[in-house]
Amino acid sequence: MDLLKKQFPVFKKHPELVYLDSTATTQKPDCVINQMRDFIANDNATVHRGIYYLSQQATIMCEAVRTKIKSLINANSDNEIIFVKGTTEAINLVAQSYAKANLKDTDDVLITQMEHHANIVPWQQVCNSDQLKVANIKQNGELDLDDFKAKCTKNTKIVAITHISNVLGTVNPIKEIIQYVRKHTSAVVLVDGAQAVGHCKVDVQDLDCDFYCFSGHKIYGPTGIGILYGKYEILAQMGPYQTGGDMIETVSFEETTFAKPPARFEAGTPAIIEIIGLGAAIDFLLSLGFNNIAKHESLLFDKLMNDLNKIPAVTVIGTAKNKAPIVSFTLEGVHSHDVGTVMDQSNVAIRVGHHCAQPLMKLYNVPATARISIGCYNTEHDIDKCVSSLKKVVDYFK
Amino acid sequence: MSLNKLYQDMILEHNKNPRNFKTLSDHTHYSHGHNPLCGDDYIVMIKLEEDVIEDITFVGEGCAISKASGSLMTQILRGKTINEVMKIKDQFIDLVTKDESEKDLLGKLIVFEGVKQYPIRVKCAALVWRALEDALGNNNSKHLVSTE
Repeated sequence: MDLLKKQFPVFKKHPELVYLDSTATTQKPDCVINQMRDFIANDNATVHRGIYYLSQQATIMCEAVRTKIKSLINANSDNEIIFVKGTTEAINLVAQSYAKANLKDTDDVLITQMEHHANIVPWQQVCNSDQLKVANIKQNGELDLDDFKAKCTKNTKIVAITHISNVLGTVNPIKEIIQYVRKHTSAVVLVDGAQAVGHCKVDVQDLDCDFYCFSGHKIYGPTGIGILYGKYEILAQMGPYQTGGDMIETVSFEETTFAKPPARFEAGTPAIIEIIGLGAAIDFLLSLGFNNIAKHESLLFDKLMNDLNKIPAVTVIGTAKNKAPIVSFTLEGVHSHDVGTVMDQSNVAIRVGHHCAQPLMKLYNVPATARISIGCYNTEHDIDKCVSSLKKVVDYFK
Repeated sequence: MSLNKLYQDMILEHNKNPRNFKTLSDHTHYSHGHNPLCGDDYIVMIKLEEDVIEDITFVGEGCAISKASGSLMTQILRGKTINEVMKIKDQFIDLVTKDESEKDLLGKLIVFEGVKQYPIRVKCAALVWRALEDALGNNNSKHLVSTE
């Protein structure tokens, strides 16, 4: 896996860079960059409506990516894969299109305390604060399943939950949760998979979720492209989220009929170049293999945790049993912003702040945390440099 | 870029032992400054007599730069008139944002000169000063300022 770094040109330009912020966005491999460049240079055309050769080719290439994603997450059909800007837009689409039309005043939306702002705020736009129920987490960062079950009632009409927490690294037992929801409610379940798809194999049919969302740029692809998966029978009942070209069947000034999913939810010219890039990113992931990725990342993560635990000033936030390679921590007496600045001087890039999860920060009673997250290109050397720069922080502020 | 330019010894010392870091129960003016990006959060409290700062304190939490800025700010401003305070504030903001600026009123505050090399940290240094500005500003304010 050490050779992998060579496939990422950013590390040629910045040979000293230790990049440990893959949870925010991943670096891009040559194959993604080259395929996007090749498409722009040689194949550029719009999709869906061109009668000419180039446009037909562009359409075939984009639809091939849709099929690729269908296989990646094991959807039932290509028509369940909607191209959106990213996870945030995917959740907003479901909130505005599904929730707005279906939620009654007596219905609840159930989320958890570990959600990203993107899986909190869109729901606040379509329900009152007393309709938004929040399942607690335990001190170790695991979901409190008893509390979740207590709040999951016959009034619950939407459950929106993250697959992997971007702050705590907690991997939620999504399958078990959905089984419970099915048994006790008629709710639809949306899973925020932004942090999952780059690290592990996701099977939406096995999970039995109704919606699953993720972003291209967190799985080695470009920004500006993401995926909303939805079960076809639910998508078919939903009205459009945005309207315009490409999502209609017929338009007159008196009346418009909308296209079937997925086109119904893809108004306007899609992010064609980014779709091509996302396709390349998926090929890249599959060429590595999820087992190899998980093995590599967890080896590095174990080493990191082992080293962090030897620094007495470090307090790790989130110690769930089942964790992705993401760790948040605070350093005694040093604000995380200072941690980030000092580590940056050693070319170690980590994230500091509230990670778009202010309610979670409040829960742990910290203003902010520092966060280290691991991607496929990281090496043991990266972890060593990270830990030694962290020790430097401790010395500096002693 | 040397870290020592940003974290001068005096800044590190004031971060560890901030001066005037307490509540001022008989304050006449106050403001709450917040930086949502990093969570820095301070309340600046001022006791104004006529137009002179009789006493000034701050409480809250944040990074080394923001805390030292509050500590040194409160030290230098005690006993100053509002007119003088505003001049010092302007010179301080210029110090951390401009390549060249007047520095004659800044005294020890000159240790923050290195901050301008770290654009993302300018808001840390400026936060308590923005709260000060708000505290002494018009009375209709909600006394809540944000640097984002």
